[in-house]
Amino acid sequence: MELADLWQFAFFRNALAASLLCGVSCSMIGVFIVCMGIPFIGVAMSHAAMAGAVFALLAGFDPLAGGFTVAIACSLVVGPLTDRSRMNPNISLGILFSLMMGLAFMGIGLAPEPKNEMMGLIWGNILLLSAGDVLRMAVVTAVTLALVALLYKEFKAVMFSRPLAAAVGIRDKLVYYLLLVLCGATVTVNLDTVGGLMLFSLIVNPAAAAWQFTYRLSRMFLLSAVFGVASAASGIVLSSVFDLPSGACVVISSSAVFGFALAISPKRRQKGHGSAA
Amino acid sequence: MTSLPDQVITTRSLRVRLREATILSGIDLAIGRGEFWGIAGPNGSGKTTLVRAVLGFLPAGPGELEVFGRRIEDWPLTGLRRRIGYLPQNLSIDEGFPISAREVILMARAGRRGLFQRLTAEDREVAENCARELGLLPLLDRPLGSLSGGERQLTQLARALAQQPELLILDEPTNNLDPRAAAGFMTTVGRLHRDKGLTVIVITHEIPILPPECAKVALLREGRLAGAGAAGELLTSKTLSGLYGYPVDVEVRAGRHYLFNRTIG
Repeated sequence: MELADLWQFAFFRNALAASLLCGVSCSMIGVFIVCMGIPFIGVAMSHAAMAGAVFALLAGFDPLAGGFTVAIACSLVVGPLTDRSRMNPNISLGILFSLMMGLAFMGIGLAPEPKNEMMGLIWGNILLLSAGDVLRMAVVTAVTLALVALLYKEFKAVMFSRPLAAAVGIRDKLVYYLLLVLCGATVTVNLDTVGGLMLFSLIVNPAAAAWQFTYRLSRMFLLSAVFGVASAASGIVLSSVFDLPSGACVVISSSAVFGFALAISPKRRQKGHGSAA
Repeated sequence: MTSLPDQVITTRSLRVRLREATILSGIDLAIGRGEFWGIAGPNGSGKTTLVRAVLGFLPAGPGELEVFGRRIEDWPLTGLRRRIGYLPQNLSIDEGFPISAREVILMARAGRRGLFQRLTAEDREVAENCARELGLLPLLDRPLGSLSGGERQLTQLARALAQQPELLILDEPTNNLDPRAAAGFMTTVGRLHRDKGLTVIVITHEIPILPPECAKVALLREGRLAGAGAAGELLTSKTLSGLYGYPVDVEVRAGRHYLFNRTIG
């Protein structure tokens, strides 16, 4: 089917809008995650949201509200758990991830057939998104962008070094926990686009690709957003044109973007010398 | 006893515990405004713990700890830390992190501004002036990861100075520097103290790095104060042999105290 033909359908326009929003918001939090070296938060939060949504469906509640509540609760737990146990955040996240995955799959196992809605949480169903879903994603993306703009200097300091941020008088704990909550919120609203299992790639790949090209954080945010949008949009178009699973296409597109970035990375070749580009 | 207005840090019978262990006990110290102190002692003697308590990173007590004339528990910690320029030891950074030397120095101004407030032209000017003072202007827009160890440490010093601090605390500042870079760095610190009258505390287990401007020292051993006072009186062969638990000879050259192991040659 031609692109022009697809454009007539509301589902395609919604899917494209959702993929753009998902590309921007996921790639923005991806910058936090890549810079702070906590990639596990992507999978931990997506599985927390999945577990919450699955149990909400089982109990007859709104799955989005359930997913959002559990993901935010988990993001609020990770920070204090890491600080108090003095463990690497990835350890806390790994523990939460395995617990949440266990809960999500237990919920799916307990659910009666057919389990289409629950399987959608895993694989995503971007072609079934409504205008309301897209609006919700737009709100979270706007909040993320606004917070990045308003707290840019604090986010940058905490991402660079929490001990140093604390030493100069920045409220590092508050900023760090806010970053974690933003990650949880973003993952939850984007669960429907590519699903909990594959969302991770849309978080990490664009930011990791952007990392290859710049020594400036502001440019990394910008490049990451561009790569995220390009990955998501090209994935959706490929999926629609060739009738392939949308989540898988988005993941493969974002991986291809990262692979290309790595291949031509000026930073990798310079090994960190030269002026900040 | 109350702290004098010109005292920056006062401790009385201070004890600091870390989880279940007592790291410091019976610490009585009075550090005055405009003084240059060296805090020395073997590894694990509690030097870093003491400054972490001063910065409010660790709970202090029982005993008393006053900073800038106010009990540590009465300080809003962010407000206190904005008044202290601090270089933590072994600050590990990711060499690929997208940040320039200028942005690192501006972090100090971010701390002073507070949430939701933008950095101003004045902040940028302060940062540039601090960089100029340390000869960092040509490096300002270089990625931090591309700088040498000595340049990075000077960047951190510029960051601490950009806080316009009343007290500068440097924790093992020459740990990863070669002898030439270490000597240059400490000479700069000595000059800053001399020219600006800045109160400076340098924590070290290497006494020879202390510059001639370091007039006072506190010696710590196994969490207790083994001595505090004039550097010339305390940095002797007898005192330091006792402090480190092996015989050393001390030689003073150009105001620095060099230690020689008496058992070797």
